[in-house]
Amino acid sequence: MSDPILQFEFPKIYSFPPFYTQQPNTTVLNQQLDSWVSIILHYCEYYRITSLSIEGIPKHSQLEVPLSSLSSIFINKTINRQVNSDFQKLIVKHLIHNKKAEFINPKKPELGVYIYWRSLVDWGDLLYQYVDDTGQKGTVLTIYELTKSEETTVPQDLHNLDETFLVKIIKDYLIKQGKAQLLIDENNEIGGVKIV
Amino acid sequence: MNHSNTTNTDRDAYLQLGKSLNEQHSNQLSTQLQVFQSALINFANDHGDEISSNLEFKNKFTQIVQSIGIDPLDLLLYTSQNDRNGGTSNSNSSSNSSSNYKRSNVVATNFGVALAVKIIEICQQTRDLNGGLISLKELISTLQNSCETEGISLVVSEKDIESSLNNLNTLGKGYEILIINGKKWLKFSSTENLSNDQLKIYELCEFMGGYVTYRLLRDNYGWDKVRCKTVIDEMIMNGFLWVDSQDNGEWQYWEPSWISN
Repeated sequence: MSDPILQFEFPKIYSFPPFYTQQPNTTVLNQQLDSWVSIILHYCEYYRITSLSIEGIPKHSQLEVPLSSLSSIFINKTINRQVNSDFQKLIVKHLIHNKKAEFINPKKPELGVYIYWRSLVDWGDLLYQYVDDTGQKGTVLTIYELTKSEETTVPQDLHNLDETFLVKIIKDYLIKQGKAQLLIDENNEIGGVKIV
Repeated sequence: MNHSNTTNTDRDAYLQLGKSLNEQHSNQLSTQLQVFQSALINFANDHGDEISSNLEFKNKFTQIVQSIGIDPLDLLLYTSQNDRNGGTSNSNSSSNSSSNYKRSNVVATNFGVALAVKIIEICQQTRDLNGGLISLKELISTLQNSCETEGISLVVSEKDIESSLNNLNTLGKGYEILIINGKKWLKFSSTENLSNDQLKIYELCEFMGGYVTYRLLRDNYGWDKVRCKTVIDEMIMNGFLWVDSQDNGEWQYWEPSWISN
């Protein structure tokens, strides 16, 4: 698949040079952080990016597009501006504070964050609805066939979902709701999942 | 004794006559104003829709109304009230005419009030971004853009905005029109009046494409470093300027209305 992907259209403030400098005025800074959060969420939703490095580089996208073509969202070569490391951390912290992001591994922040342009609950409901609609409740399914299978009719919203992200959706939401069970094999790895 | 009686009688007669003439004159004026007011009301009735949608027409009508000492919004409120109380001014009209009258009148009144509310909304939304100072051009642009997203084509002029602001100011001091570089800006910040130095910063920002630096201020105005720092720091503190530290070797201070121009 080589669909021509239109470039994401950034809002005008993305071309505003001071946008890349942490503002000293607290009120303006909060406005600035909110704007960064909004841009990151819309950008990730547009390219269906579910995880981002701390430096703003996409880690995984559901689209069939080489991630190398998407550079860091914190760098704007057109106006020769970029967010420095400290401000990057502050923006990510603001994302997490607003519950729009979560560390992939809280003990290893350098691994990056999941981006919740769609909440875990909504992701989980999507997955549950798909399994229910296709009459597969109570059936053991592999993680692979839930996202990457070309044979079954995995809905576009779930297609190509990152496996670790999918496991997180199941663990953090569906299992806690009593709607799913994970099957662990003898190697202590996930062998499958059953939606109940 | 006879002479004294004659003088008093004459004085009383003259007073009575003077009072009578004044009353007569006052009554005539009052009648003329009422006739003219009634004519304006009928005119608003007949052309209400056009007044609402035709800006040039609306402006001229407003001037006529104001020239006889009537607040145009009061006229609209009066006609609305009159309409609500039975519509004596159009009691002879057919029901269709009455319906048209109500719609056009409501449209005109609501237009001014809705515009005032819209202005407040936009000011609140942009306050943290621009520190409480927005150009009328940007205000109108934002208004029209937000309406276009709803499929509404809005026609608003700076005069419409200023008229709405006059009503807002009766609620207390909070919205003020400034003129910078010959262009009108709306200041809705609680900050005190902008100093001349601050106004000069805005002027230079416009000429330089949105930002100033210490060197630009020195070269254009002859300011020393202390004066530059004092004004810029105050404007940063008030949220009027954003800081950019990534130009080669020199800090830039940007004026946020650049974002929408």
